[in-house]
Order: sequence, then C-alpha cells, then structure tokens
Amino acid sequence: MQSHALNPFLWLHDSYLATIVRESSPVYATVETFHAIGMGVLVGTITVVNLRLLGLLKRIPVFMLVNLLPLIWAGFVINACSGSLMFASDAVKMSQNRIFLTKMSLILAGFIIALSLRRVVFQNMSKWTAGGAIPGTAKFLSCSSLLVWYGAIVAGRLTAYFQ
Amino acid sequence: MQAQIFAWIHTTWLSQVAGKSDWVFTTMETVHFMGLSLLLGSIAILDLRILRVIKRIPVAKLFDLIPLAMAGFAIQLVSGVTMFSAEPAKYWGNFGFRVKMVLIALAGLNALWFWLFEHRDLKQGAAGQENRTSAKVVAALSLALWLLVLTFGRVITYLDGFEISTLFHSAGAAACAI
Repeated sequence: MQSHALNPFLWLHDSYLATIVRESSPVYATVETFHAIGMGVLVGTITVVNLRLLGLLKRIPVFMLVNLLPLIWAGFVINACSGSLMFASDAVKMSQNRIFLTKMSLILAGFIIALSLRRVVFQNMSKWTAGGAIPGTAKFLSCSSLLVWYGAIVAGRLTAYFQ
Repeated sequence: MQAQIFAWIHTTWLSQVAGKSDWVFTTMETVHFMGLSLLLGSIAILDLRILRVIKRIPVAKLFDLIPLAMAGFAIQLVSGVTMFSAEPAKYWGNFGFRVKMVLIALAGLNALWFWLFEHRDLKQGAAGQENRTSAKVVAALSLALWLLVLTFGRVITYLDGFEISTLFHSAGAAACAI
C-alpha cells in the first residue's frame, strides 16, 4: 500500500467528498445525471455551431453563433465539476485507465480546436461575413471538432465498461 | 398476454441481434448518448431563446434546429427500441423506464402544442419583441420535461429490481407507526 504523500490519487480517493460520491448511490446517480445533462448541452451546442460552419442550418447567420458560446461554456463547467467528482471517487484506478486518459486527450484536443475556431472564425468575422463564404480552415476545424467530441462520448461510455 | 408479447419480441431479428453480444448493446447505448446530445442541445437552444435567456438571434432563424432535434429523436428511438428489444420484460417492469415513457409522451404533446399554436406567431415576431407568455410556458415545459426524461433514463439501471409498491408499503407502515 502506497502512502498518501507518494500517491496524490490515493489522497484524492480517500478525501471526504470523493468518499461521499463513491459510497452513496443516490449522490453518484445525481452526479452522473448532471454529467449527461452537461454533455447534451455542451456537445449539442458545439454540433450546432460546427454544422453551421460546415454549411448546414443555413438560416442561422454565422455571426449570430457567438450568442451560443455561453451555453457551450455552461455545459463545459457542469461536466468539469461532475466529471472531477466521479474521477475523485475512483481516482487511483481512473488515473491508470487508458480509455479514460484517451477521453481526456480528446477533450483537450476539442478545447484547442474550439480556441482555434474562435480565432479563425469569430475574431476575423468582418473579413468574410460580407462575402458569406466560410473559410476552408473553419470547415476543417469543424469536422475535427465533431470527430473529437463524439469520440469523447464513445470513450466516456467505454470508461464505464473497462475498469 | 404480456408474457406472450415479450416472448414474441424475443423471437424478432432485432432482439436476437441486440441480445446476442454485449458489443451491440454497448454500441446502442453510446449511440443513445449521441442522439441525446443532438436532441437536448438543439431543444435547449430553442427553448432558452424563447425564454430570452439567449438573446439577439431571431427565433425564426433558430427553427432550422427543429429538423436537427427530430434527427436526434429518431436516433434515440432506433437505439432505444433496440435496447428495449434485448430485455423487454426487464424494462417494462422498471419504474424509471415507465416514468420516462410517460414523460416522453408529455413532451411529445407539448411539442405538438408548440407546432400547432405557437410556431406561427413566433415565426412572425420581430427580433427584439417579447414572446407571449404561452410560448414561454411551452418552452419552459419542454426544457423541464426533456431534462426529466434524461434523469429517469439515467436512473433505470439504479432502479433495476425496484418495486414502487414497496415504497407504498413502507409509507403505509410509516403511517401506521405514526
């Protein structure tokens, strides 16, 4: 058995909050439900933004997509909080779970893609809104974004199976 | 009657495939989560816009999200029916599943109301204009119902083997004790 000082995940696993989440199934179910709600809001809104940039949902003006960004953030915050709680409740195993680590990498990639999209699309809006054509870079980033976020859902679901 | 229906479901191709391997079931579950994102995401945007939490996008422009929500629902229906067919008796007897089905029916009626009575008015409304109260009620109901559908779907696993009658029994016992 390792000491807490040597293994921060063990310390996290044994922390007060993590113990509550692990040992009470109503609490765990609630956290899990919030994780699903956050996922729906986060991935759903990202899908809408990406599909629009790929040329679908044409009636929504591209510059108006900016108004959806707070919703993406809200979903992300809900999932970061609920996800951290679930991670802490099983921290030692999760920190070694390859599928979980894959999920985290996909989310990191999704985050970087979102920041790039903000740079390419939303900060250079004036350059191309007049013409209406969506730059190829934005389309490529949108495709990658969809792949990465739906990949994260797959990895998340599989995390529950392979522990 | 019920047992015969379940037995028949088990003989169908869908049930055989869904019940045969864990992989099919896991895949359907994952697809169900993807459809959830499409459905909940697009509905949340539309409802929050009608409730004016999201502003500056004219409601009529967001009606493009309705086909997306319907696509999400279709995905949910196909993956859901497949999972149900694998173990019909288990789902049918599950309290969480039953409540979920009733809630989906209510959400469906609510969507029908939206389509019949609110859709046209909202479409014609100007960008800055306040939406009428009935539209806001429908939007709030839609959001609440779909979040509850998700919640009861999530707890189906936890309620495996749970009998609602035991709750009444213990409530009755508690009442007697008082």
